Amino acid sequence: MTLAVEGVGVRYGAHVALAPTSFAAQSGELVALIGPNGAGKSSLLKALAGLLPCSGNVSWRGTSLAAFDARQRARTVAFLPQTPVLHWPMRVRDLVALGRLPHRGYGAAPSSADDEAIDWAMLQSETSAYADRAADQLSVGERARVLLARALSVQAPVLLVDEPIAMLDPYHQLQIMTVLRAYARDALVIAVLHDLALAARFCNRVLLIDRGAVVDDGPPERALSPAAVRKHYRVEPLITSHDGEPVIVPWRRLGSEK
Amino acid sequence: MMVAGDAAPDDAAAGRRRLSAWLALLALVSAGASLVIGRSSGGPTFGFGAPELASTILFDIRLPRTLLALLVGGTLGLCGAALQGLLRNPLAEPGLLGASSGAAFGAVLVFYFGLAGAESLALPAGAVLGSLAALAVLYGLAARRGDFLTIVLAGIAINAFTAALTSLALNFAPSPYAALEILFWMLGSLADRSLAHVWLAVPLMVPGWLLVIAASRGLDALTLGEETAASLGFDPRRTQWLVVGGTALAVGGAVAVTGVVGFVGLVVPHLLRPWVGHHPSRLLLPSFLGGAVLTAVADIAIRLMPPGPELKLGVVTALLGAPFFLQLIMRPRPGAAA
Repeated sequence: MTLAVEGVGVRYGAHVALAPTSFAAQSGELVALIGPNGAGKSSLLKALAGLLPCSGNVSWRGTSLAAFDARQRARTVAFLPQTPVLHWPMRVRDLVALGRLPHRGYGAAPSSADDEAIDWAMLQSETSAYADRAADQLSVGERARVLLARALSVQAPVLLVDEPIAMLDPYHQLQIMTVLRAYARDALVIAVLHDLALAARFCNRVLLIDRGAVVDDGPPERALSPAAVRKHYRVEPLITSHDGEPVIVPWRRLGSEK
Repeated sequence: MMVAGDAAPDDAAAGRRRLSAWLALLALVSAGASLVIGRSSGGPTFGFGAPELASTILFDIRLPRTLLALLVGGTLGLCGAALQGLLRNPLAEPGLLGASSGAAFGAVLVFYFGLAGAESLALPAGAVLGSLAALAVLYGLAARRGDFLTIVLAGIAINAFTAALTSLALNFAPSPYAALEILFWMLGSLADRSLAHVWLAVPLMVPGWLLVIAASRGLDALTLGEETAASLGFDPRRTQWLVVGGTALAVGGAVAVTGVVGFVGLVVPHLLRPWVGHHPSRLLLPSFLGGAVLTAVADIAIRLMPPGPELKLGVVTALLGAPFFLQLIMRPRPGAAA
């Protein structure tokens, strides 16, 4: 199952946030969207989710997403925004259940499939323990995992997540990356990440974006080579390996001002 | 890991059903009381008076008053809950959109041109037109940008402008009596209403309710913000116009027959929200019932006052509501929303 992205570009007025971009990605891939602040990663992700007016076309299994009706589209593409937004202190389980809205008819009670999906998502994100707590009794990191559980509970074949581990402790960063890796076994996951080490270890493909354009698209070893990191992040990386897996640590800023 | 005050899922669902059942029972009880309690120049009266007058008193005086109390109160509660959900702000209330001040101004115009005494149907008809005009202006001002902030600001501007026009009408009122009549009408009252008023308001209220209810799942999705709501298949613009249009229709219809009744739409959803776990769609039905109860009880309280001029409903709901609301927001809230 393929997500085909053809000439997708985003502009805010005269400012081009993302030049027309094309690529295809398949079920089974965990794709890291990597690049410095303001490179256009979130714009690309939102354009794929249909949340921004954009040029070009996105299709899933040969059908343009624009031709999907809203609910069908919502069941196909799940999206987790970068900024955690939670306006009412609802019970955690009720919040995760919002991910099942596209699966339920108007006024219908949650089906057993809904309940299973909710329980599964909370188990994955390790949030089951506070299922009955109000969301305002959670820490920022706990809340971030609840919102990720909400996105997981959609059980969409395409999952787009914007900085899913930015607010998590090291334990949960590893845990959520493992969950995303497992989810990507029979789905497509595209994740905006800033942690180069985790991106290199867990993702099998990296889209490197800089100044509104995809500058590399390939395996982590290539897209996150020392030269690429130097050029696009302006940092000298420390690259080594451990147990046969790459370790990338940003080490020193390169002569910043020109 | 359970925290005191929280309940397991099944208990929570049962609790919500119990809440609605209790509120419905209270609404029935207050409706019954409203039917048997009346008021004459000598103060409160009980029962239906002389047998030959009983059916007139019941059907022409008390029944319309009772029905309107329930319908208007329910409308204010429901629309208040929906608007608070839409704007994700517990301070929103139905008057915010300018529909009620538009309705008030429409009614004032009818007064001003001497088209009607307080009991005629020309008055509510003018109010309905005023509220629809306010909605049309709101739509004209806010449709292009279409975001929540523009709608709220446009609503505030319409409120200010229609309030100024109403004051202008008072300024130039043909007689002090007319000015007094305008003022009294704006305070809100259910006295001396007939079934004709009910039939005038219902065709606006019911479609308004349906529009608001159609937005309920969209309101839940909006808890997670506009982007996530859109990604769940609920276009925030659609949710917004369902709520705004429904509120303007229903509240316009309510204000048209009762004048402006404050605080019900603000206090009732605020009070009931913790009972439904802050869940926007689950707040709608209890708020409708709670608004109906509060308004019916306030209207009964008016009739139970000692002899003297009858108090206005809007005065009583604000007198009861404001201190209560203050107490509610001043007390420490360990679980306040971040």
